[in-house]
Amino acid sequence: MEIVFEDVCYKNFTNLNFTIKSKTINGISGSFINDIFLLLQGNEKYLGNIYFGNVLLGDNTKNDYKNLISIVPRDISKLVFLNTVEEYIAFNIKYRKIKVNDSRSTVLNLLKQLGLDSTYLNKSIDNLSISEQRLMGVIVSLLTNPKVLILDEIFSNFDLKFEKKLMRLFNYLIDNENMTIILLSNDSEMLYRNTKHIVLLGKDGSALDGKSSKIYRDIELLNSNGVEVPDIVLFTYKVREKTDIKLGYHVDIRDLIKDVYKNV
Amino acid sequence: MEILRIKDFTYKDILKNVDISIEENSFVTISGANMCGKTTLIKVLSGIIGSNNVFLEGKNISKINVSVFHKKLAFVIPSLDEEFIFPTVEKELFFVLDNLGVRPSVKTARYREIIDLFDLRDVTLCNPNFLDLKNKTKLKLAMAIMTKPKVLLLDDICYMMNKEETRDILKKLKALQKVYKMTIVMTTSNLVEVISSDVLYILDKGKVVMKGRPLTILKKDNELNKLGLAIPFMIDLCVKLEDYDLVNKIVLDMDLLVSALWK
Repeated sequence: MEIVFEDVCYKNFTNLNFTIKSKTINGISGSFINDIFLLLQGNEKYLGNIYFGNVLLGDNTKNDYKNLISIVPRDISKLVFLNTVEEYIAFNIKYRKIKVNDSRSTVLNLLKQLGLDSTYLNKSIDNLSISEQRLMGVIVSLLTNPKVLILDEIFSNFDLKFEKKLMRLFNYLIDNENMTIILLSNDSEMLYRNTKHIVLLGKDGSALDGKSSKIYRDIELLNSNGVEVPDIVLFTYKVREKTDIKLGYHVDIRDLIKDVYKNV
Repeated sequence: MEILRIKDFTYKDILKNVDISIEENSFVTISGANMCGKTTLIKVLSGIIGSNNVFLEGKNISKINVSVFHKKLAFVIPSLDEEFIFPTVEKELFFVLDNLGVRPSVKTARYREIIDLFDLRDVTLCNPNFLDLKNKTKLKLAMAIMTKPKVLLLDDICYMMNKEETRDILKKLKALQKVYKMTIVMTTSNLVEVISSDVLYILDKGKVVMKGRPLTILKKDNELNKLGLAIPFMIDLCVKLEDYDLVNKIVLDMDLLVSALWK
C-alpha cells in the first residue's frame, strides 16, 4: 500500500512531500524521524494531506488506516503480571482483539522462519535481552496480518545473521502477502544494505525520496543533511576523489574487492 | 592482577562452563550473536542472577556484604521500559549522591566532576525521560559510577546509537578506564565497538569460543561470519585485500588505505 505525504505541516516542518512505495522495503532516515513515526501511526493532528492507497487519511478513514498498519516500536511495555513470552503474545492477542486462527502454530511458523523454536516462548520476560524483547513486538505485529509494517530502529540490537533472517521474512511477506515494509532508522549502513526506496528527511525540514542505491551514493547530499555515508560507499568515493580510477559503487564487499583487484 | 572471575559456570542451557578472568584496569568486551548468553553473563557477574562461581578481588560475591559489593562493582543493564524518577537530571544525580550518604561538603564537587566528565552540563535542568538516547546513556553511566566503583559492567550500552554517538560513548568509557583506573566489562553484538578494548571474548550458544586481542580475533572473518557477526568494514576490507596480497596489515584509516593501494 502506497502512502503519500502531500504538503504536510507538523511540528518541525512545513509542506513536506514524499512517497512510501507499495510492496517494497522502504527506509525513512534523517532529521525529525520521530515526527514521521508519530504521523504514520495515524493519531496526530496535522495540516496537509496523507493518502494511504488512494484514500485520504482523515477522521472518517482513520480506523480503516489503523486496521491496515502495524507498528513495532522501540519500547516494549512490560506488564508485571506476564511472565513468559507466550503469555505476552497471548495477552496481546486478547487485548488487541487480534483475529488469528491457531495462534500457536502461526507463532511457531514465524519463529521457524527466524530460525527459532518453541523454547523462546517459554523464556521468562525478565531474563530476555533487548533483542529478544523486541522480537516479541515483531511477532505480535505480524499476527495482525497488516498491509504495512512500520518498524522503529528494529535492527539496532540484532546481529547480522538475525538481520538476514528478518529481511528474508520481510521479502517473503512482500512477495506473498503484498506487504509494505517501512524501516525508520538513522543507521545508513543497514538502510543502504536492505532498503529499495528511501525517504531522506533534511535538516531544513525538507524531504527527498528515491532509490536507496542512488540517494546513498550522493555524498554531498548526505553530508549537507548530516546523514552518515555508508562505509562501502565512502571508500569508493575516496578512491574516485584521490585517483582517476572510477571504481563502481557496490553493496556487497566481495564485489568491491573484485573491483579493487581489477583496478589496483 | 585479577579483579573479577567467573569460574566454570553453567546456568540452565544459557551458559555452559564459562570461565573468564578479568584483569584489573582492563577494558574487556564480550560479544556474540543474539541469544548467545551475553546479557545473562552480565547479570551473573553483577549478582542479579545468584551464583557461587563469581569472585571479586578473590572473594566469592555471594559472601560479600551487599553495600560493599555495590560500592566496588556497578552495572548498567538497559531495559526498554525504564524511566527516571526525578523531573531533572540534577535532581536525579543528587538523589544518588544522597542515597550513597556522600558528605554535603563534597557532594557538589562530586556532582560537578561527573557532569563535566559526561558533558551533561547543558542538560542538568532537563527532564531525564525526555533526553535523547546518547544523553540518557551518559546519565545512566554517571549514576552508575557515582561510587567510583572498581568494576563497571555494561550490557549493550550503545544500542540504537549511530556511529558518532557510539564513538562518543566509547571515548567516555576509555576516559573512565584511564582517569579512574576502572575495569570495564561491556557486552555488544556490534564488533565496531570492540576495536579499542584490551581483550575480546566471543560467546556462542553460551560457550566462550574465542578470546584474545580484538584485532587478532576480528581477522577471523569466516568464523565470525558463521557466528552471525558482522566484521567492521575497514577490517573486513583489509583482511580480504590481504588474501589478494594487496595489503599486508590492517589499516583502520580509510584515507591511508586508499593511499597505500594507489601509491
